[in-house]
This record gives sequence, C-alpha cells and structure tokens, in this order.
Amino acid sequence: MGWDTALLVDLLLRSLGQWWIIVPAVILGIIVGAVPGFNAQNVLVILLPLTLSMDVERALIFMASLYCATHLGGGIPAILVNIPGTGGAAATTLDGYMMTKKGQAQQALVLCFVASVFGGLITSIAVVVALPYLAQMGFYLRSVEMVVVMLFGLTLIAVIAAQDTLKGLIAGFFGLLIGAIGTDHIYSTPRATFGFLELYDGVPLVPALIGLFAISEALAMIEEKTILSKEGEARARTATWAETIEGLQIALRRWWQLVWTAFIGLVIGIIPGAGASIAAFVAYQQSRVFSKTPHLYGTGHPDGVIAPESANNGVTSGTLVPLMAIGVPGGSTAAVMMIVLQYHGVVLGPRLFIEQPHLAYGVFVSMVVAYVFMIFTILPLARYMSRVALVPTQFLAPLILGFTIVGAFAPREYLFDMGLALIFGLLGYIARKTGYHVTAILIGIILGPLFEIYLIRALRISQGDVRILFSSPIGNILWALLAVSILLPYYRVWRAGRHGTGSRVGS
Amino acid sequence: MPDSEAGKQGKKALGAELIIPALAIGFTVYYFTTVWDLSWEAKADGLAIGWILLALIGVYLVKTGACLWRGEASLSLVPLIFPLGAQAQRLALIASIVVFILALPYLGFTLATALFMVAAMRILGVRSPKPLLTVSAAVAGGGYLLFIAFLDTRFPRGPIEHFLRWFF
Repeated sequence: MGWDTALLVDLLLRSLGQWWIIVPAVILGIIVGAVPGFNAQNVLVILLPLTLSMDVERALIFMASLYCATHLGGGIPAILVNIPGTGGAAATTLDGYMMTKKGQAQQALVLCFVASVFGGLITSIAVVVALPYLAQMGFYLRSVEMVVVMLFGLTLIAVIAAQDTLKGLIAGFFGLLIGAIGTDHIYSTPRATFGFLELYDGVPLVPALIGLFAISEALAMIEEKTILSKEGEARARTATWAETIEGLQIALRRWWQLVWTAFIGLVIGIIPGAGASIAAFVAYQQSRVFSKTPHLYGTGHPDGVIAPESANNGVTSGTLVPLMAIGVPGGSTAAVMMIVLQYHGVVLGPRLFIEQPHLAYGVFVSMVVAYVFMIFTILPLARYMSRVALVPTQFLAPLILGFTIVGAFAPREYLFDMGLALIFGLLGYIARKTGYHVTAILIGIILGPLFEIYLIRALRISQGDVRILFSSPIGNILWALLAVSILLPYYRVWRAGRHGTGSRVGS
Repeated sequence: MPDSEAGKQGKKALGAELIIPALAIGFTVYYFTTVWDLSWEAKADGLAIGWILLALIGVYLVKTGACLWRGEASLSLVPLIFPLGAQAQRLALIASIVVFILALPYLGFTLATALFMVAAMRILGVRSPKPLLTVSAAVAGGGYLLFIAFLDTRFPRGPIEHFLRWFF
C-alpha cells in the first residue's frame, strides 16, 4: 500500500477524538511504569476483560497508549531513587540518579520526559512512513546476527563499569551465569536451580531488578540523612520552574543525540525478543563511545539520561512492527495485544495493510497522539516529583522497601520471589560497597537467557561448528562495529596520552 | 575503631572485594556439577560463561595477590563493616524484611505491610507516633487500593482484607 495522506489525517483526527481513552491510559501507564514489579504486560492482562469488551480500534488505542506511558514512567524512580521502574530504565539510573544527587532531579526528569516523548514520537512517525519496509528487517536478523547483538550488550558490562573493567566483567559474567539458571531450552533439564521448582523457568527478572537496585539502595542509603549531597540539597530546596525550562533547553540542544538513539531503540525493538532493556543499554554505550566527553558518563551527564530514555521509547513502536506486518509479536506486551486483536477476528500480517489500513496504521498514529498528550500531562509535574529526593532516608528507605518487596510478588504471585529479591538485595549491597556495578550483574541476568537461545540455535544449525558465527555478511559487519566499540575508548586514551592529557579508559 | 590499621597506612582494603569473586566461584562450581553429565546443548552456554568467569577471577586474584605482595593493599573488610552504627540498623532492617515475608501469609498484605513500615521507621530512628502511624497507614492503604482493590493481584489476604471485602 502506498502513501495515503487523507487516511493518515483521518486517523490523526480519530485518535485525537479518543482523548478520553488516551488520557486515563497515559496516567495509568505512568503510574504502572513507575512501580517496580509492574509493567504494561501485567496490567494489560489484568485489564483484558475491559479491552476485550471495547471496540477493537479503541482497545488498540488504549493498549498502545498505556504501553508507551509505562516506558516513560519507568524512568521516574530510576532518576529519583536509583530504582528503575522497568528493566528498560535500568540504564537511566547511571546518570539520572547522579543528577538527582547533585540537586538536578528536576532537569533530569525533564530530560527523561522530553527524550521519552520525542524518541517515541519520532520513531512512531518513522514507522508510519516506512512500515512495510521496516517489517522486512526481522527477516534479515537471524540467530547468528542476534548473537552479535547480544555481545554488544556484553561489551557494555566492561564499558559501564569502567572504573575497573575487570570487576565489571566479573560482575557481568556472574550475572550471565545466574541468567543461565533454569531448564535448558532443548531438553528441559534443570540446571543450578538449588532444588527450587520456582527457578525452573529461570531467574525472574523483577525480583532480581528489585533486589539489585531497590533493596540494596535502601540498605545503602541509611548511612546518610538524605540521598542528596550538601550542595545538591541546597540546590534542590531552592529549585524553581526555571529548572524545568533549563532541562527543556538542555534536551532540545541535544536533539541529534535524541534522534539517533531513538532509532537504535526502533531497530532493536523490531527484533523479536530483544526489548527495551537491551535497547537502552546499547544506546547508552553507543552514545558514550561516540561522545566527545565519555568521561562525564556516570557522573550525571544529560546525554546519559537522553540516550537510554529515547531508545527505550523508540522500542515501543518497534515491537509492534513485526506484530502488525508479519503477525509475530516483538515482545510480551505485543503478544497480549495480539490476543486482543485475534479475539476481535483481526488477521495480522501483510493483508492487514490492504484490508484494514485504519488498524495497521491507526495504532502508530494513536501512539503519536498519546505521546503528545503525555508531554503536556507529565512536564508540569517534574518540579513536584523532584521533591521526593528531599525526603529523609529514615522515611524513604522504608517506603522503598515496603513498595518494592511487594512488587517482587506481583508478576508471578510467589512468596518465594520476595525472598529471592532479598537475596539479590544482599548481593547488590555487597556489590555496591565493593565496587562491582549492580547494573553489570543485571545486564548479565537480562541477556543470559536470550544469549543462550540464539547461541544454541546457531550452533545447532551448524552442528556445533562455531565458524557459523562469522558466516553472515550482516553478522560480520556487526562484529566489526563491536570491535570498534571496544577499541575506540582505548584509542581515545592513547591519543589523549600523546597530547599529554592522559586518562584511564572510562575514568 | 573509626579507621582501620590498613586505612591509616594508606593501603587499599581489598578483603571485601573478594566476596563477590568467592560467591561467583562457588556458584560456578555448583553450576558445573549440575550440568556436567548433560548433552552439549544443555551445557555449552553455561560452561562457556563459567570458564570465562573463572578465568577473569583468576586474573583478578593474580592482580590482588600482586598488590598484597607489594604491600599496597590489605585483606581488611572495612568498606563493608563501617560505619558500625548503620550496620546495626541494616541488620535489623534485613531481619524485619525476613519477618515481613514470613508473616505475610498469616497477617495478610495490608496488616503485614503496615507493621513492617512501623518497624522499619522505628529502626531508622523515627520516634514520633504521628508520622509512624500516618505513613504506615498511607502505604498499606495505598497498596491495598492499588494492588488488591484495583489490580486484583493475589496477595495473601488477612483480617483487614476480609473485613474490607464488604466495602470493595
């Protein structure tokens, strides 16, 4: 189907007319995204009776709006209290929380909101324009290429924990091995489950995330009266609307950063199974590798907030591309949407663009509208949200513990998961205190199962011959890019050394 | 002891930094024992990651050993132990989390959460009854509304949930 301006204008007007569905979905999505343990998939499953009873177009608009808003909401606790609301916001903690500690929570929140909204907007528009072509991308990225994409994620471990790359790698590979707990994908034989049936499906991500970030952070923060530095506290207490404007200016000055990292999210989102967590980390790493000031990353650098937030919202439209174009959901939330669409008798795939173009394109147009509503809903709240950082730790730590430990229960409804969160909390606390980055452990746990799936699939195709990993032109290009990503920081240090301004890699 | 002997001498305290590698070695060995006899598809990924992990830890131990040999570091656990005052609060918080998880099936979500909040705030030094009661009631009440009344998650029900069922 070719370009049809009249159809798109009609869809835009129809989506705007559904504001009464979009606004509650956006508000609910932001709340859900900000509560660790809950995500769009959980809530859409819970709300299935509601969405199934709606007209298919409205149901789709509701689900897409809620889904987009959860990706934005996840960044709020990541910035304010160092606890990502969703896995996709884990990378945001690296610089977002450091900005909060310096008393720049308001700017960090505005950066997060602007990056999320514009990242989502740009990619949604791009998808509307190029949907039939983008759908082909999923056909070219097979297991071999995916192994290399996963390895991109692995290199982040060393780069993110660059204070001591070796410790970063140890933490990352420790996480990868934890991610390999559970039954194998071919014969379903249990591995390293300590005899717990609850671990047969692998280590659940939410308790790991809550333990490593929330519980360990709460245990660590009690040594101080507030989470802010002295200068940061003084600055936060006198914060005005000007800080929101400043955040807006910082974000708009970095428009190019915002655009290209959003497209990283879009491309990774199109790959079934990859998702926001990987997209955010890849975008963070690539942003750092190609930055003129890589040494500022991890210290409260605006680019370190923009890159992951823009990418994880770029994913939202990306995951829906294979769903609409070839009937393969790009992620778990897309799978729930697929159930609703199939219930209504919608046949997904190439025919959808011819038979029901208002649905195929309508979902992306409604995402554009949802993002527009989102920025006006959330931006004025940044000033008030940033006040959370001023709450004394004697209240903040119990609040974090109370809300997040129960959040560990929510996805699978096992008490076991709450205990698991505590164990990860203790591991995370030791890691924090001894310089092993908890983010590196989490990346490992996220990537572990995916890496195994693609690696074993590739090796089975080649009957165990590892040369298959270097057999694809696209894969080889990705290998070369991976090598550049690893070597570029060392080259920069070498060049700086020659000019007498030497510094350590990543320090 | 505000400063350790090692700290006074300007040595790096590396003892605590060996805890994660020790845990990693223990877990890797355990992982290997559970996959050793399985088919290659089931163990290839874990073995590859495990051997790389052991190699990385080996390099780290050599590096640490060299620091100790040169007298630049000690095996002190200072970063993990101090400040001692916060350590007591931390242990009490961990104990209260354990009690919270164990009591949840019996007390139900709302009552257990409220009691946990009171205990955690008391441990961290909140003495005034007004914030103790209002904050814990707000968290437990908000949690009840969000998780049970609205999202209908299957949190363990207790006396408060059974009572409130008449209203929601």
